[in-house]
This record gives sequence, C-alpha cells and structure tokens, in this order.
Amino acid sequence: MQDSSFNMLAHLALTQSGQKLNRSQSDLIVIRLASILRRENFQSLDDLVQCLKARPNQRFEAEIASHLVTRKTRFFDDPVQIETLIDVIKQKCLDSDPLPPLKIWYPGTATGQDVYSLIIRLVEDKIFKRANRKIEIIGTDINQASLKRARSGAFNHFEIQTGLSARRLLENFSPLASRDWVLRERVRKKAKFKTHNLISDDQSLGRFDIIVCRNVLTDMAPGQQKKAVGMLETCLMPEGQIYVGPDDHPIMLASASGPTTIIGGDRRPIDSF
Amino acid sequence: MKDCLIIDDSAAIRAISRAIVESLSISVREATNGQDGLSLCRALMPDIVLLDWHMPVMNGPDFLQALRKDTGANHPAIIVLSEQAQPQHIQDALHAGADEIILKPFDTEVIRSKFEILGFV
Repeated sequence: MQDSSFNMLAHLALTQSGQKLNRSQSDLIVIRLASILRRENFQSLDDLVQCLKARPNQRFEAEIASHLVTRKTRFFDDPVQIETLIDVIKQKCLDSDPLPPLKIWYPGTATGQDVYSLIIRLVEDKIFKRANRKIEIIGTDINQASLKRARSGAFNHFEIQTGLSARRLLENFSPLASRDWVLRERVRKKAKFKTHNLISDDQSLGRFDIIVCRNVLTDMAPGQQKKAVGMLETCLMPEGQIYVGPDDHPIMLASASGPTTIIGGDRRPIDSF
Repeated sequence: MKDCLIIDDSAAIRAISRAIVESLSISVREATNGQDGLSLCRALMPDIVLLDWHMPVMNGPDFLQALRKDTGANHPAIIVLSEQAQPQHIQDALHAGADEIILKPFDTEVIRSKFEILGFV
C-alpha cells in the first residue's frame, strides 16, 4: 500500500471513528477491508483509495471507517466485572420501589458478546423476572455488519468456545446446520442493537444508569478519546456508573471531567471524583 | 507448576495441545489411549486431563469411569476433546464427569479460555 493510500485511510479512521492507525498495521488494514475489496472488485487498497479520491462518497467512506475499527470481543471477557454489575443491578432492581426502567448501554459492542454475557447472567439469576423495574440493555457500534451479526445471535464454532462454558452453551444456544450456534430467543429478545458513533453522534440514545465501555477508547487518538469520554459522561444519569476495561481505565481518569463513578476491570478500585 | 495429562491417539493433536498448554506455563505428559492414561494417573495424579472421547484400547467414557472408581470425587479437572458437536453428546460427556468440552477443531484461544474457566490460568 502506498503511503498516500495509508494516509487517506488513516485520516478516514481518525475523523470518522476516532481511531488512530499506525503504518505498522498495514496487514491488519488489508484484512479488515478484504470483504469490501472483494465486493467492489478492487485489486488492492491503492485501487480503493484511487476510487474514493475520484468519486468521493460519504456513505462509502463511513462504511470503510467502520470496518477499520472492527473489534474482537468474546463472551464473559471479564467475569469479575460482570459479577460486580450483577450485584449492582440486583441492588437497583430487587431492593428498590418500582422505578423507571434501568438503562444499560454498551458502546462499541461489535458482535454483542458482552451484551449477551450480561443477559445470560441476569437470566441465570432470574433477575428479569424478579426485578421491580424493567431492564433495558442496548449495544451500539458504528459497524453495520457487526451489528447485523449481533442481532442474529449466531456465533461460530470458535466464538462459542471462547469465554463460554459448555453448560452455558447448552443452556443458552441451539446448534445450526452450518456448525454455528444461535442464542435462544429468551436471551436474544432482551438485547437491542443500534448504530451509533461515539465521537460524532448526538445524544439521541438518551441517558443511562450504567455504561459499560471496554476496550473501545484504547485505539483512539487522544483528542478523540476526550470527545468519546465526553459523550459517555453526557449520556450518564446522575448517580450513574461507567464500567471500563483495564486499558481504558487511565484514559477515563485522564479525560473525565467528573463527577463520574468509574469502575475498572479485575482488581481495579472504584474511582469516584 | 500445574500438570496436564493429554490423552489422545492422534500425534498431531497431542503435539498442538502440548504447545498450547505449555505456553500457559503448565507441564505436560502424554498418553495415546485411556489405559496408558490411567497408568500415568495412578503413578502421579495430574491437575487436569485433556481427554479425547474416541480412542482405541480404552476410550474417553471408559477412562472416566475407571478414574472415578480410583479417585472418587477427588478426580482431576477433565476437559473432553470431541469432534461431535451435538448437544446430546456434550450433555453425555458432562454427565459422565467432564468439567468442560472442547469441540474440534480448536485453537490457542479456545484452550486458554477453557483453562481460564476452570481456574488454571
């Protein structure tokens, strides 16, 4: 890939999704854009960039940017944090008088394993049935293809074996003829997925009691991290909590204007400032 | 250091599994069937067993039954390796005493994940 092509793709990723790409990630860029190259019959990334320069197309540029931020997720990525969340949700839903719905947001959800992991645990403890209030869980991402997969609830042979125990697989999934497995309706119907850009969309999603933002901020450029953290804070209810991954934790601490309760991953203290 | 016994009649599967398990800082012994595996267990009980379900001489289910007879409830953690992905088969393996199942083919992340679930990583 020529330097000029890389520079244009890096600019697209930065301006549309906040992600910072390095020249050393050229192979990764080829992998992430391979499906677009095939579909549009481009021989190389240089051809793709030439086409973009000759015929600018905002929609196509947005699609390319969304593919460049494709994030790999897995079931039960941080079991300790999920158990913390379950305790908090129980306190907010089982011990309280009836209240408006408890709203939980997973920005940058990719294919939805994090959303479904929480729902599986909530179903295991029958919290949806026992709760005094409705629990609404939404996952958002800028990548339409990832969201389509998240909505389908179908996961491949390797995905269902990463983070998911055999017992949970049997209890929550059914096999498909393709060797994929699909989540049972009772889990799938509890999740909502929507397109949303963390650095440029308005606040149309509303405000949330809990935001879980893991491994999303780390690849962003510093200026865009601040924008994204600003979005998270704007969308947080008073008394709300933001749960982050270990690598997101210092970014949140540096960028948040507070007062915000930030809860890190394993072995991380609670910071409220 | 934790000790893992890999019981599989396929030399390729044993070699791949060994490389992955050793990368988790867990020592590895190998057996090519359930009977040899049982002998190794009787000599020194491992912490975890990666057990192929279909093998000549003594298969996975017979190995599990014999091991349970030897050790009672104090048997090592058992991860069954199987090509059969049907829910009934997974259910049968769990019922027979497996703690986890790995469906073939697998990769590093799958083995690491199952070891994490069982508290070995």
